[in-house]
Amino acid sequence: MYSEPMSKKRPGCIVVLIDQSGSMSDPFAGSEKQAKDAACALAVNRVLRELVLCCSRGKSISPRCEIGVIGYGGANVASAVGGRLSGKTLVSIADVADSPLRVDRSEARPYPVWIEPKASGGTPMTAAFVLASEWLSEWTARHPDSFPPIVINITDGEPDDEDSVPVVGRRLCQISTSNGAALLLNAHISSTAGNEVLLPDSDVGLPDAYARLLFDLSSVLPDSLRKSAEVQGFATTPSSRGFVYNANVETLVRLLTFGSRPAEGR
Amino acid sequence: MTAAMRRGRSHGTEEPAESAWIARTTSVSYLRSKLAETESEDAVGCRDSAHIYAIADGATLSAFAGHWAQLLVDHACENGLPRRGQLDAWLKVPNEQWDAARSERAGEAWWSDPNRTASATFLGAQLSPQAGGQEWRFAMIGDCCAFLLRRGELILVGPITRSADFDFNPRCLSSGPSEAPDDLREKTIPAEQGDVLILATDALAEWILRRLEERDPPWTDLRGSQDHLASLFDREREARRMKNDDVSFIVISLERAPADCAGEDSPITLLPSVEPPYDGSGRQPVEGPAGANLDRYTKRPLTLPTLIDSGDPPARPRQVAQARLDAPAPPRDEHQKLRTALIALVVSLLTSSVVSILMKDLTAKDLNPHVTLEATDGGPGVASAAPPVPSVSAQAPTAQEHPANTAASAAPGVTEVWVPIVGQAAKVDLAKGAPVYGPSASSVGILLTGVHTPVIARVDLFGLPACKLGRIEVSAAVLQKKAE
Repeated sequence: MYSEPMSKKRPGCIVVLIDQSGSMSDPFAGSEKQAKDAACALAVNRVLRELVLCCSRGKSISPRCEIGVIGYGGANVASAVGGRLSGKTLVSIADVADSPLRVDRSEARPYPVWIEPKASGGTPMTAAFVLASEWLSEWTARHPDSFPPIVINITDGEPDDEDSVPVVGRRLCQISTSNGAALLLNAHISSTAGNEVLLPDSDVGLPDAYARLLFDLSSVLPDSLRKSAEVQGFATTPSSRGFVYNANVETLVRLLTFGSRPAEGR
Repeated sequence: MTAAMRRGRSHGTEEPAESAWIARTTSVSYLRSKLAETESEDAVGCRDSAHIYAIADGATLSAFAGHWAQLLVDHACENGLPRRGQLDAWLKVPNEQWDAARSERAGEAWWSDPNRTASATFLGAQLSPQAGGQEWRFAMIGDCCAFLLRRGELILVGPITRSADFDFNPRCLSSGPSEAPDDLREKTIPAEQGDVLILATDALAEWILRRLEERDPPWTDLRGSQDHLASLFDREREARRMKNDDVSFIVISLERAPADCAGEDSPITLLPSVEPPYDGSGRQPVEGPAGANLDRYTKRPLTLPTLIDSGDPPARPRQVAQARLDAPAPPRDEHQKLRTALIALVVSLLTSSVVSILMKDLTAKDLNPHVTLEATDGGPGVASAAPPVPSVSAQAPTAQEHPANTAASAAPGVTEVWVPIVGQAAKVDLAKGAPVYGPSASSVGILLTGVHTPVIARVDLFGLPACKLGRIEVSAAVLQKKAE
């Protein structure tokens, strides 16, 4: 299980959920400079960038996965990408590569932007999980033998519906392909200053109840992803979960199995 | 060099120090998958004259990985295998070539970053003289694997020995600077007559190991035509028994001249003094990675097998062909020697007019049985020596039908080469080339590109001992199938 590399023939599915609630306008991890919504948008853009680079063969993009982005804030739970992809659900990574809102080339490395910061209303995480589940169910019907779909939820972890979130989260994780059940990975962008936490195997030491809730929601890493994490220098145990706290969200992307990723070597 | 001279250098043993060994192919192929050629990130290379074979697998998550893999393989074939402790020095050339091609990697798109590095696993094997014989030397990093079979038994496998040990994170050689330690692995083992060596990229290696663990050795399955192998790999992928990844492998079979050559000044040497060109005559043109203009790296032939007469300097394949066909005729009454002198099939895929003409004739006649193939620029010589009857057959010839057993004739002044083909009849697609491969004591194979699918045919060289065939350049089987 969890062994099928994402490929043109058997593409993967990655759905990014971005918390766009009002609380996201609070400062990020005690920072005076950056609000959580900006940190969150930055995280999503970095995730998409990393995914595109994972599928780049040099001058072309191999359609190894389909991507969806769902924003949730207030009464709005819908596809969050704009521009040419506006209103679309799952799209090929090649379309994502070609359709950023803009590309910031002021730095040494180009920085494409698909998502702008946004913050308003409550945190309808349950509704976001329900919508994601619909997308995943439709996708697994089309790709029954692919690597199972992956949901990356980027949030400050303060859902309106704490009681129902675990229920729909577990239901989402029951959507399967022949290669395994869907994985739910969570990235907690918190107002609370604290050390980065990457792929923990217990909630001991997590700073607040929201972090513990998200830890509980997060899938235990299957062996293939855990091995990938270890090769990249992360300490893991068989109980490690797909959860990061105030840390680079790209870490989660780097665990995915698109094919061979070189280990350190000369 | 005489046999006595060879024995004289054998450190007191009767075993010739530089005996007449050849390596030959057991199969050869290049499989096209449903995907474009540019999808492949594997590279394979064989430098027959130096008995260097290399295979590399570009990491999926790096840019232009197939290009980098090809640079590594080319470098190994041209300059030898890396040695532990000298890896940085060895990588200097491919690193410089990579840097020099930077502008060719540049693109308009934001994600097209020419500064991104590429990574590839690597496995090289070389056959070298040693006291009393020859030895295999391996240099490897990552999860490409070698399988060495001797007398039907697997005697060496590695660097990975269990199917469960494959993962998606192999150690690699990088096109960029690295602080990582030199962890190249090396291995040497004495070579023996009859050795069969398989070099395989990870998906096939994992599959082979699993079959071995299930006590179901796969060696028989790995023989056969391209269609057979394509079907096999598709089937195994669908059944999830083989990872959906590029598949490439090289098969090298080692033979030594039979005993009846003893005492003769065999022209077959393991390390011939003449270097055939490694590049220059491509197989079918191949686009560079992602359509980049990287022809100089990717248009090299995967194999350049040749069958070369001993007495002529094979400076260029065409010259070799000419020289061979002009060779003095052997005595008419010594049938074996007659055929020996006659049969020289020298191939350079696009540069040899002899072969081109042969293949044109093949094309024109659609390989109907009993087609005579003429090499019009061969000149006089062997033709007058009453060679065996030409025959191109869709079936294996019976003893009665065997060309060697049939009356022969040839018009004076016309050199003819006869090629009984055992196997499927096929059209030759000149645009895609038709490489000859696998010279051995008994056969040469021709890869014929069919109308719809490539097929392999074998050319029987009438069972001649290897020492009679002139200098034989080693060739190796190359097979690739790309991930889907």
